[in-house]
Amino acid sequence: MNSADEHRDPDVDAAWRAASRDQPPPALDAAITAAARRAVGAGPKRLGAPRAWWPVAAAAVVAVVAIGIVEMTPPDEIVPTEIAPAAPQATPPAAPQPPQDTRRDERAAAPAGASQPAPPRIEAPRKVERAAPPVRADAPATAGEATRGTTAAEPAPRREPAAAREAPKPGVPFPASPSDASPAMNAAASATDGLRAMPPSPKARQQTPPSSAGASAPQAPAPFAEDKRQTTAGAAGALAARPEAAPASEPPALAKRTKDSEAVTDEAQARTVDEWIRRIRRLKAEGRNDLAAKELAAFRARYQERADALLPADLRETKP
Amino acid sequence: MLAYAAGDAAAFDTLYARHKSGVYRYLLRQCRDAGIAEQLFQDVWMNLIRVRASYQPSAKFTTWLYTLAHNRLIDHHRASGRVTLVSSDDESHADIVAALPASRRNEPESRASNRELGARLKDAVAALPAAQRDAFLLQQEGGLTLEEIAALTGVGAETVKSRLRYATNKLRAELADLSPQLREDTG
Repeated sequence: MNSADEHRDPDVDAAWRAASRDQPPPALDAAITAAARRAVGAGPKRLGAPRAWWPVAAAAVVAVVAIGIVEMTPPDEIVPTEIAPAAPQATPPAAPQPPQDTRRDERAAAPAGASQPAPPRIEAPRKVERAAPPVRADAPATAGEATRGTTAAEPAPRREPAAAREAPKPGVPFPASPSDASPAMNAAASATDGLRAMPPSPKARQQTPPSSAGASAPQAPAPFAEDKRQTTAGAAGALAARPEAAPASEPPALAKRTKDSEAVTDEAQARTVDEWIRRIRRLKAEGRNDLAAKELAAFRARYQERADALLPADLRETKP
Repeated sequence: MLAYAAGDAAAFDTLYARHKSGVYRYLLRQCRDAGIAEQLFQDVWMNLIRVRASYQPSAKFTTWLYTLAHNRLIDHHRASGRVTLVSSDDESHADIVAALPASRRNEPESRASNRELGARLKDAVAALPAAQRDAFLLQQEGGLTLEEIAALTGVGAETVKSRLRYATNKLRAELADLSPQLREDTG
C-alpha cells in the first residue's frame, strides 16, 4: 500500500465506483478518433490530398514536353514560314518581291533550258520589274548614297535608287541599257549564269521600251561574277571593250566598289535563306573568306535579330 | 503513446478506450456541466493529438494525460472568471472548509428524500473544496499516486495528503448514515 492508499476509504471508493459511471457521448468518441487518424495520415481524406496536385503536375509535364519539342526542332524547318511575311517588309512597296514558292518553281524549271549557253537566272524578270522607271525616277539622288550602298546593312529600298542612278553614269563599265550593249556584251552577260546582277532576259528586254532604258539599266555584277566572266571567252571580248567606256574622271576603285556593293545588295534581296547559306558556304569552301564574311554581314543585316536563328551552327559562329 | 506518435492510429484507439472515461468524469465532476465537460474533454484529446510528437516518456502517460486535463480545466476556470482550486484543505483553512456549503447531511429534506447513493455521493464530491475535489478525482478517476498528484498540481506531497484526508473524511461523514446500504450495494 502506497502513501495515497493510506487515505483511501474502501467504502468511499466502492461507492464512488458505483456512482460515477458517466461516459463521453459516442459522437464525441467518433470525432476524436477520426481526428487522431487524420493527424497520423491513416484517415481516408489523406488519399485525396495528393490528387489536388495532379492537374497542376499534368499541366507542367505538358508544358515541358511542348517546350522540349520546340527546342529540338531545327531552325531550318521554321525558316520558310518566317521569311515569307518578313520579305515584304524589307522591300519597298513599289517593288514587291514575288513569293518564294514562285521562285522555287522557276528554279526548278530552269534546268529544262540547260541546253542554252547561259541559262538565265530566274531572278531576271524580277530585276526588270524592280527597275521600273517610276520607282527609280522618284528616288532621291545624292552622291553620298552611292557610297553608302557599299555597306551591307543598308536597307534595300535605299539601295535600288542608288543603283538606278549609277547606271546612266558614264563611269559604269557596262552599257547603260541592254540596247546599248554590243552583242558580245549581251552574250557575256548571259554567260555569267545569273551571278552578275541580273541582266534583263530577252523577254524582259522585249517588254522594256528603249526609251526607258536609262532608268531600267541592268544592275552591276557581283564581285565573284567578274571572275567567272573572265573565264568565259565571250565575256573576254566584252571586257576588252570596257576600258573605252570607262571615264577617266571617276576612280576605277570607287566605281568597282559601288558596282560590287550594288550587285551584292540586289542579289541579297532576291536570295532565299537557303541560297544565302549555300552561297556563303561555297565562298568559304573556295577560300574567299572576305566575300563570305561580306555575305554573312549582309545576311545578318538583312535578318538582323533573326539571323542567328536562321544561320546554321557553323556559320553562326563566324563573325564578320 | 509513442506508437501513436510514430503513426500507429490503432495505438490511439487503445489509449482512448483506456482513459476516456476517467478523463471525462474528472472534467465533468470539476465543471459540473455536461456540455462544458464535453468541450473540455474534446480539447484535451485534440491537444494530445497535436502535441503527440513532443511527448517524452519521462512520466507515466496517465500523469501526462491528466496534466493536460488539469491545465485545460484551469484555463477554463480562468476564462470564466471563477476562482479555482483554492488551497482550502490545510489545517489553517479548517474554518473556511467548514463554512463551505458542502454537506447536506443535516438537511432533513435531503435525508428524508432517500436519494440514491450515487447522486448523494456526487453531490458530496461536488461540495468539496476545489483543491480537495481535484485531488480526490485525480486519485479516483486517474488512479494517480500521491506523488503524481503532487507533481501534477504543483504542490507538495504533504499538501496532497492533507487534501485527500479532508476529502475522504467529508465523504465518509456524508455517507455515514448510508453505510449499511452502501456496504450492501457495493458488496
